[in-house]
Amino acid sequence: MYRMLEFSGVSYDYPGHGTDQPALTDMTCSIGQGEIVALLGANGSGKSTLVRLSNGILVPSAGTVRVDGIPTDDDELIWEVRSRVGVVFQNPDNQIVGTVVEEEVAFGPENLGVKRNELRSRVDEALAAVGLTGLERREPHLLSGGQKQRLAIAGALAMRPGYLVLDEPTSMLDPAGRSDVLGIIDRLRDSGTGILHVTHHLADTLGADRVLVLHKGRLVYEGLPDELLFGALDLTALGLRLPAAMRFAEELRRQGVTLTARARDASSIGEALWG
Amino acid sequence: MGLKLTDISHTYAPTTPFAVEALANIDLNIEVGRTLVILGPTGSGKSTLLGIACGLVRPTLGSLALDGVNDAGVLVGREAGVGLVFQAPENQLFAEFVLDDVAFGPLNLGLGREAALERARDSLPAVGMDPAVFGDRSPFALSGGEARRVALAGVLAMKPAYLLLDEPTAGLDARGRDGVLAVLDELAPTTGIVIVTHDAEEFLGRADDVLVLAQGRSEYWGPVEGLLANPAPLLAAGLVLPDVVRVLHDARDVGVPIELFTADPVRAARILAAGLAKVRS
Repeated sequence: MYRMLEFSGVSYDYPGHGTDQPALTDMTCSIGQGEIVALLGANGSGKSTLVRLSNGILVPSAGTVRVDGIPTDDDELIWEVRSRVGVVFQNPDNQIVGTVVEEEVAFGPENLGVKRNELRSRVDEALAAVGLTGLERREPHLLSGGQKQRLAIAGALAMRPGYLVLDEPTSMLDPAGRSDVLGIIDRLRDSGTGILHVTHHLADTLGADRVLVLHKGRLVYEGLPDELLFGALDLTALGLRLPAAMRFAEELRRQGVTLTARARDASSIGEALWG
Repeated sequence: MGLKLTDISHTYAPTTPFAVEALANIDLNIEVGRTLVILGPTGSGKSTLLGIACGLVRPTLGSLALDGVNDAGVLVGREAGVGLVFQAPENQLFAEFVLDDVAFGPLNLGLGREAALERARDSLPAVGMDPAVFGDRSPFALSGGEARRVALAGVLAMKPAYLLLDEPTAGLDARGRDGVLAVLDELAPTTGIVIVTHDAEEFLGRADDVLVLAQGRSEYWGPVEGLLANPAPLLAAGLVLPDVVRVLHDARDVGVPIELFTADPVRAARILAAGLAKVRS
């Protein structure tokens, strides 16, 4: 059996949307276990629709979504799908329901019928994975933005999903919170989880194994992050923006400075200039 | 002149066991024609300071003066006073039509309906939107970037001399972001702008002055070039130096003359290129 989260020829049209283009058209892609796939696209490109399709919140108008071979449109198997694919949305404030941290994390597995003893170990494990151990009895509204986002991730991890789908998990965070979340994503990948990281920041994709780019509901690029940054695709036309360090490198070249290496951050530009 | 905050301290729930000191001894002067960026980690007091600067929050200690008038009271929503744009302001759009939403502020200033709609028709172009195209659309049928700009137009319609913005580009894609930044560039020469942000990389390049907050205390207040030339206060606050500025410092450390430290990637590249040319000649 193939262990992956798999979209085959998936289209989705919101009901009553009239003659407009569908939110997603003929999307084919897969996320394997132990890899980070970054999904880039401007607002309205279909990213959030894809997120909702990934664990059966929406079912495709055409094509199929399968998790480890299980189709998401079978009502009988929907809880099997949801226990395998965890989804974390952009704004943690909109998804936190528990009155204290450990209750929030236990909410998902409790609904799956997980027994008390195991519940405890799952909660402890999930909190440890996101670095919130010690805050079990804290009220969620007293946490910082970064801590809330990590709590939302812990809630998804307590389901022990094979795949984790994160919809712009860093967009509300300060730089410290952002690098915390990126670090957690890396560690989860290393422990075998398949990650779909949805973002509109190119800089967030540099640590991914593969990058997908959506434009107006269609997949227009799939490849390595480096190849996207240095390739022929017109990123600006896709509503994307080069990281500041790359705009800096571009202007240096325009000023006649030779950069030998593929410059993309302070250290690689420095290396190119003075070894 | 200016919007002047003197020795501001603020404690939430004072005299209770839950007292939290949010700000301590902050001095700040905001001038028309200058852009001030406030940086600091989550919980450092940035949003409290914005609330105090527009008179919505009365500080525990210290004083506030607008253009020389002391203890000016609530300044937000006052003609030629202070405009405040909250985080994700598009969540507060409420009217049936865009034009009415934008006219709501001036109506509350006491302008008649026609005069208020006139203000609305004037401020939509200022955010790059044609009132003939967008005026009778529903605010709820706009893209994220468009809705953010409508909310901004609603504040601009009150003609504030000082404009305070909390994370004005968070959650917007490149196009939405460029739209908001273009509006701010346009307003900058005639407005005192204060931007609270986590995105040092984007905003230090367009700031005149910076305030760095850490745990409610000022680590730095002054011209942006000074902070970027000597970034110790930024690092002390737990923030990171933008990549581009790091390269300029690395260059100076290996003997390349750097005339000015800036976070604007294009200007920084030109300064570095000029320095490299000097080394070669």
